[in-house]
Amino acid sequence: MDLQTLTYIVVGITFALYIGIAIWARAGSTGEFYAAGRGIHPVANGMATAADWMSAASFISMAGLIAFKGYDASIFLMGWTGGYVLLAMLLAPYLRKFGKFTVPEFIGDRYYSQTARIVAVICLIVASLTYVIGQMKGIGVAFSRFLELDYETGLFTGMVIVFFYAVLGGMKGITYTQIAQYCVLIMAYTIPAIFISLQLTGNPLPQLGLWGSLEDGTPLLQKLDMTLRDLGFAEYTAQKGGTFNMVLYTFSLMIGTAGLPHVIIRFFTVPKVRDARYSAGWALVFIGILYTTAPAVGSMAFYNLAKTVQPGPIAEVDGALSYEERPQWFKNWETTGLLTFEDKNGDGRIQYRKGETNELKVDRDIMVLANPEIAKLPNWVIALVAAGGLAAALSTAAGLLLAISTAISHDLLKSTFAKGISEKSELLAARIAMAGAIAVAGWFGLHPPGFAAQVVALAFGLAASSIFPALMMGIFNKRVNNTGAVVGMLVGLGTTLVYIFTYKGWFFIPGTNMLPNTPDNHFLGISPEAFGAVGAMLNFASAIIVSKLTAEPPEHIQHLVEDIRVPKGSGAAVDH
Amino acid sequence: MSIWKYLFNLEERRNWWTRKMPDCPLRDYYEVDFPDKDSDWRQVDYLAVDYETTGLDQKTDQILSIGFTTVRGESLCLDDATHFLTKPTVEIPESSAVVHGILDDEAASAKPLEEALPILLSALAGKVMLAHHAAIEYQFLSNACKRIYGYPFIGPVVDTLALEVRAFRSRDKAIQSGDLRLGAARARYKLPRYPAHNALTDAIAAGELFLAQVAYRDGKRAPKLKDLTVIS
Amino acid sequence: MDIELLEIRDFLVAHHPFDQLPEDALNALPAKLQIRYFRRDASIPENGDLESELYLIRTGAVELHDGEDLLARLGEGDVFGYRTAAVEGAGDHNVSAIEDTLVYQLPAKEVDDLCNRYPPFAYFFRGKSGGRLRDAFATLGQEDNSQANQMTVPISEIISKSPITMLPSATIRETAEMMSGKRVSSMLIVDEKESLVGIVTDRDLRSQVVAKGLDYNLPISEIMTHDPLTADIGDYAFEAQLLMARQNIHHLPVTQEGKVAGMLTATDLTKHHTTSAVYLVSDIFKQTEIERMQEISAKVPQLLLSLASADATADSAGHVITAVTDAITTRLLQLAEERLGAPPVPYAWIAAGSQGRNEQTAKSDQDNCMIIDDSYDPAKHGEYFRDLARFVCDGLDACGYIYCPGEMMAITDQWRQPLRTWKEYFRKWIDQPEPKALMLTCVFFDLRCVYGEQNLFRDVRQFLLQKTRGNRIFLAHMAGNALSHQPPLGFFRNFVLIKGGEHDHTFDLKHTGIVPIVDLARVYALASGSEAVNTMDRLDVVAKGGEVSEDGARNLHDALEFISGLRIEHQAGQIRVGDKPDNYMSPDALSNFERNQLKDAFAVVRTMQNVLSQRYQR
Repeated sequence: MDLQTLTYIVVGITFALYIGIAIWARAGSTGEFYAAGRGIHPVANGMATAADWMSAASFISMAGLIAFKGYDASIFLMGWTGGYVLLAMLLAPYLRKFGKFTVPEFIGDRYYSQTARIVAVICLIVASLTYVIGQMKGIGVAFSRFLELDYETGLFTGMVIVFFYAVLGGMKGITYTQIAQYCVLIMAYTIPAIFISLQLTGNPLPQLGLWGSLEDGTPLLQKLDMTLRDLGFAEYTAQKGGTFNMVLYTFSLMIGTAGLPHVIIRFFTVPKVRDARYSAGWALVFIGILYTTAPAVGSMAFYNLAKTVQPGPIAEVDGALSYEERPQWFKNWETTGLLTFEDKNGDGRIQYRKGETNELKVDRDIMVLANPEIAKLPNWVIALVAAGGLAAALSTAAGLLLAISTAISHDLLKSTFAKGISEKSELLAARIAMAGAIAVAGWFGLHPPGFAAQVVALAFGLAASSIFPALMMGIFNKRVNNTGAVVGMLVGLGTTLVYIFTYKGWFFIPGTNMLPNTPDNHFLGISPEAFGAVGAMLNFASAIIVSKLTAEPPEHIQHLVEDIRVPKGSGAAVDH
Repeated sequence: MSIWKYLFNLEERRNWWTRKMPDCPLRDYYEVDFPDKDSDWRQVDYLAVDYETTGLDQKTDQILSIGFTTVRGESLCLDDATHFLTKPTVEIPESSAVVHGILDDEAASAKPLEEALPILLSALAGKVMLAHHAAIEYQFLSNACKRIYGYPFIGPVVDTLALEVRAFRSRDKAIQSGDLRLGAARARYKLPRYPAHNALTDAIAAGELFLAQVAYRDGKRAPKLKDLTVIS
Repeated sequence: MDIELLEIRDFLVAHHPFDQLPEDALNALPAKLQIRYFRRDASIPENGDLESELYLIRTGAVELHDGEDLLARLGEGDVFGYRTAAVEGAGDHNVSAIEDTLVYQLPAKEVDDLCNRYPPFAYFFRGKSGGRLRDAFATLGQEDNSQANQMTVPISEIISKSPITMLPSATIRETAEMMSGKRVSSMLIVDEKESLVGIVTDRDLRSQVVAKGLDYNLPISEIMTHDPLTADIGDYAFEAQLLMARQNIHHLPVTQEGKVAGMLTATDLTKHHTTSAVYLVSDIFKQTEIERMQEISAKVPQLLLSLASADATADSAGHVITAVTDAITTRLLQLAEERLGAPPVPYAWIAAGSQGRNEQTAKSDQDNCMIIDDSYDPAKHGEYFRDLARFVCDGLDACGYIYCPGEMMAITDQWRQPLRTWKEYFRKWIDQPEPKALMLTCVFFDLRCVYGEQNLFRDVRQFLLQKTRGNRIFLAHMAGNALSHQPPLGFFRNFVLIKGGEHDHTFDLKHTGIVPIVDLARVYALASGSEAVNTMDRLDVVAKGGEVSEDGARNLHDALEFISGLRIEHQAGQIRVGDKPDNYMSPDALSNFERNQLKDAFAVVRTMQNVLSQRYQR
């Protein structure tokens, strides 16, 4: 069976599985009334959370970045893992005690201000939309390869499918579907990794294989460094960016996590705080499986790529691969436009080098998907990876889109601007908002301001600069009042957006950037992706200063803030 | 043939046959326009038709008797109700004789199919064929035409069985086995029980059923012919 | 003629006047006929011109009307149309099919032709047909009874007492003595042949005798109302009720084949309808034995039946039937207290679930609990309350309110607790909305105090509403729970039916029709902190709370009314034919119109669920 058919079949089966589970879950719940009432085990819930959490950025893009950036890209691992822990341990339990379901609701109530609520909604929409742009890139890559189309057409197809998935599916919230998605995703990620690790190092565990040796006895990482050096790239294990930038980058990924609506909600949909903690722990384990595999996938993929295009010694002319002899996967990816070869010196051979002489352009987001093909793994593995990529992109995109559409239809319209609208209009507004968000994200997906993981990093930065400080101060500083919070959020979001747009172009429109996006031009060497942490500090500072200058929050709010920090017996106040 | 079905409509195919065919009763049939499929169903004449046959295999079995009567403007007219026996070229198998009660010696005195077909075709001209499970009537007739004139029969058809299936669907009802038999369908519309297996009685039965089915159609607009036909 | 039209010929020959025709005319007749089919309620013919054809009914039935007045009902084998009306002397009349009808029609000129040629045939069209029509009316009228029976109750089912009668020669005094002796407010006056000649009521005695100072020894015939209006014992109760309302009379003699069969009073009728619950209730409070209460509660299905007959709204039916349950509960508690002594500490008996919401129907199990004052000491008082709960719950079970399969009853130790424990329960359910807790909320968030110390109940209610109001995390969980039962409406607006098993090809009106609305209303009510528990009340109240739009609430209200109405009709139908009432309805049992309306109702529920799902991202 040829690869294309097999891919259709495997993707088809996984989709049928998700839908089947959704139907089964629905049907099951309408059964006997008294039979209901069994909970979902924290392990299962952890898997579902992990599926929610791991987006196209994690699945498709992260390993690609690691492949090309090496050690520097480990900030994603640290930032995202740390952010998850921060959210689970520090923020979620308090927010939960407050009894509010969404971040804007919390901010609106805590800062006793409709304005604060609206500003929070806007911040959330901006951050979530940016996040979806990142997913769109991943979806475009996955669909263009899977359907053997060029990237644009693949993206359009993906947009339509995401819309129907998010609107009709309602598959969000069905834990068992998400568990299935996690299983598909993790199998798709680890199985090729295991095969490749076995191929290269003989060790079935990619995490260990990374530190293992090749058949000729040289350790893999050493060999990789050597290859890269030969090709003129920086060494894989070397640190390339400034340490200051890396710290800020990591921080902004960490604290940005707290502002992303689709993750926070996971902590509220579990009945008990204790269960939430357990499932957060399990989720961390399940996320860890992918995250620890990612470096191995990245480095092995790069090694294989380099070996393929440069089978012989660099010095010799026929050491480089002849374009005529390029393998099938090369051709497939060429149709998507994400892999391009330009024969600059006219020798018909692919010179993959650092600098001007480079003839091969590889979009980093294709690495994970192309990985099994490069390694010449069996077709079904390749098909499985396509299904995994789609699962990752769809599950996260659907969650975020739902959050965006709810924010618009409920938080903005129903609760603020159009209180009397009927339920039908509310639903319609939600659908339109969702379609609008997809269209906007799709447009940006055509001109992505970076690789999937980088765009997602921008989203985290925006959330970090606007939402996180408002949440932190809402819980831990009773003196911060409504004006302070609103000013803080606006300052944080504003500065971060301006900084990002300065280097990435206004509204990400290519060519409108005021400064070239290179480390030399960055303010203090801070990359736009890392600026979220700075934005957050500005947010904190302005909020606290403004609050000091204006009236104290009302007494009942101050009591409320004290109450949620009291660890136990918060209900004692209302008991008598 | 099959692919042409999708490329040309019935009227176009009728014109095609008329041009191609030598002079024969079938050609006379084709020379009359088919009823306009967009006309109100009441403006159209139908011929309720039924045969008794030696069996159900349209390739080998033959027509033994033909009964038909006209449905015109919401009523079933009995003035041209016709019934005659046709002479089969084979012996009547006992299994079918039990059903329709036509015996060999009776059939022997009947019209040969060459004489019978023109009567039916001229009655059908300009009308819509109406039968219960019309595929059988249609195919037997078409095969007979091919055998005798060398060309197939085509024409618009209303099938009361198909209408009954639609009625079930539109009411979200499950169809049980036997529900679609002529007698069972008629009983649902409170139509009287008739003894089965006489070609004319069955034709009348199908005609009455058709009137009942149309009376039971929902919707303000009177149906058009194309809403009722299976082939048009 | 074709011998094959024999079937039609045979039908003709079996029916007058065609049986008068000679063989050859008969044989030629079928070819002259046209056959037409008319759907029920269609007029025959469409243009109303009856004079151009003679119609013979092959199957079905028709009604002949002259304007408003019913002239006749005709059935199979009857003729109408050309020449028949003139003889009736009724002038213009119109005919409509009351059943699906197949007719043979014969053109007027053929009829004339036959009449000219065959005098016996023509004779039919002269004069004698009046009686024939009347016969047809009589027979059809009776047949019709059986069908209409399903809609209403005949008088015979309401009157029970054998009639008390006097002869016209009896004196006024004798009559009055008899009336007071038998405790009746009216007396029928009959002659020796038991046929009715008059009626005397209390009011006649007052206005004719006492007020005018008439001699008590005059015969009663002096003051009686002669030849009063009567009803036949086969008439429907509602017809009698209409007659009485129209004539402003309160007593209606009932006759059977011309003889007096009884007396129908306004009280009989009202007793039979909604107010019959009041009688049941007052009856209940007179009882001291559970066995007697059992007999009374066995009448609940009949009560539902009469409510359905009286076209009571589902909402009022729910209230009425729940009132009976409340009465039985209260009476059982009174009896228990008589037996066990006064309660050592105050307590409140709480109805939960459908009883709490005032939404019971014929088939209900018991959901209840007990809130005891905080001074409750399990060691000292535990036994008393356990016995109390056991007595009441057993009593309810004996009365047909079977034990709750989820054990949500006061008999379960867990649900017979002091106030503080209840508050602890609610705190836990609200703070940790586990599936089990959410399941319980469906029952224990719909509470109503039936008996005992109201303040205990108010305390709990206030506590829980305070905790739920605006608690969006809890509400999100409730919303998730409210979405677990979805209306049986497919993607293409088709019904999704249960396949296989005992209830093949049906849908569950309760769990997929009513429960989703009840659940939605509960979420809305808890979100706005409303005290209402009845679903209709909740929907009326919450529209102001902002959780749901006014339009949305009204639509849900209408949808619930419609679906519960269907359920009551469905159950009443089952009770009538002696089946156990259930909630499984086949779409085949509905008319097309009802089906569409039901789909609309389900679609409303689906929209509201989608909004909830969208808002809480469940």
